[in-house]
Amino acid sequence: MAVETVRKPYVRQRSAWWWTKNPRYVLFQFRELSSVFVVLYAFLVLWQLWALRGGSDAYYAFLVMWYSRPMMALNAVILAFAILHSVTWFALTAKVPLFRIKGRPPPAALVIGASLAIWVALSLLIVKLLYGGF
Amino acid sequence: MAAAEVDRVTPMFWGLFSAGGFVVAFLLPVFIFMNSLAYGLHVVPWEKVEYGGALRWIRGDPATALLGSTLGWLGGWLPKLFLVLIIGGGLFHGLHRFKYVLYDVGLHRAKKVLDPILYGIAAAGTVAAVVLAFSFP
Amino acid sequence: MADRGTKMIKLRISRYRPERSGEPFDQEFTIPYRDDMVVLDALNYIKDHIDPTLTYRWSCRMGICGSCGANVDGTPKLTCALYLRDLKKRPVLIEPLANFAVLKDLVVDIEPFMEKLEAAKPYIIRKDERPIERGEYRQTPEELELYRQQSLCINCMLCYSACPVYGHDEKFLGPAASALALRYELDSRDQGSEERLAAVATEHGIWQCTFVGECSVVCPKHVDPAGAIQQLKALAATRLMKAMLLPLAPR
Repeated sequence: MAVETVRKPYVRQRSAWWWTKNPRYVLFQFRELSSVFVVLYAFLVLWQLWALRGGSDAYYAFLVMWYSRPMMALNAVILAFAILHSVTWFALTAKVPLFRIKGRPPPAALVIGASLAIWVALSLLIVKLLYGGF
Repeated sequence: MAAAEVDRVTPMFWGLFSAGGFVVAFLLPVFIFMNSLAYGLHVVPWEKVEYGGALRWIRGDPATALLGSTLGWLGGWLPKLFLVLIIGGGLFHGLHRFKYVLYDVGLHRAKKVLDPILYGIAAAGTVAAVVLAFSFP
Repeated sequence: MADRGTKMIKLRISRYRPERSGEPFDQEFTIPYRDDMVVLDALNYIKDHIDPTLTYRWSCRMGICGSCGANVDGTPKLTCALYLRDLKKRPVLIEPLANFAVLKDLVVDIEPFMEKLEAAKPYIIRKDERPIERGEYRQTPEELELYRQQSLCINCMLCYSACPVYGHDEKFLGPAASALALRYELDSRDQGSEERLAAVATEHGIWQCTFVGECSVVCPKHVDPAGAIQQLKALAATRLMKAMLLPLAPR
């Protein structure tokens, strides 16, 4: 008895919500979303510089907007995403050995730790050097 | 699989994305805090953020004073360089990453249109940052 | 079938029978289970005692052949290495590996994966081929250590199932093939770096990777394909920079 061969590969469609199924995918999406806030802040600073060029009155108007409650809230959100970027970036770059110790790539935990330490030190240095401290 | 052409453009933008990623990771959080939140949280006084204070900041007064007589000339350059790094690095980093966000939601067929637009915005923003920042004394 | 007092477990298995129905459907099975059973044991129990038409791939039962991969509760796993006792949800959901076309039940079409492996030129390329009388190309243990991690891949395709980029771009070279490319890039006997990098640094090659990192999480052999792709990117980018800055320099 001849048996007919049936080969019908079934291609499944991916749901638009695929990333909600796994917490690591969620973190990934937030990490990628941080780019929107980084770009937004770059434009806000360009706007700030433009206002500063405009003279005393223009900059005062900018500052009234800048320190309004909604803007403070937005900037806090941007800061949260910037910190998310920093932490995830150090975790990512630790995966790419830029140098080797005794022929072996340095352990990721060491690279992440060093990155965090440099980050904190550099931030304090900037506060001191560029802003003259608090 | 047919041999595809080597992509010679993406590596350059990936390089800028990576360099920008480091700049943003190390410099942006402290800048956002000092520039946007510190005054509102009463960490720095009004004199530092109002018009005159902002002009003194971009002129590099605190850095010049700290660096002393030999390195003082560097002080005027530091804030401007800092701004250009953050804006340029942020744009080339962020827009490259955002491109892949758009790819993921189904726009990867629009690569030929997306790439020039996004990298064009990054380049224009970086030029604007250089021009604006260095227009101050 | 089961003695009274035997523990039972319910599994929900995705079925696809191209000769009968156009769409996959779920079917539930309740079977007796012991704490030492892996998911593959459950599948074998069903095939032996309940439904002989259930179709899935397996061979070695010891995590080395790479053929028994399936998505269990949404995560790509080797079914031979996953204990039922470690699964929290009931029923246990077993589906074919994501991102691949389904041929029957848990069997997916591996043809696209085979093409990708081939595209990465996974073999030693020599510019100066030695005559066979001169013996093998020798290598020190240290030189072996450089690529040992990437050489441990068993081609189980869990990484492709975990990769969201492959999920939306079926042309993407993907994790395992990229890791394999790096394995030969790092091999001291290989002289085909230029050719191989050119093959993987394409539009749908390594540059599509957004470093989600899930491939490295699900890899049963700790090959770390995600790290491998970033290393390839760095290699390709620096080589391109050198070529642009020093157009006359020998590469």
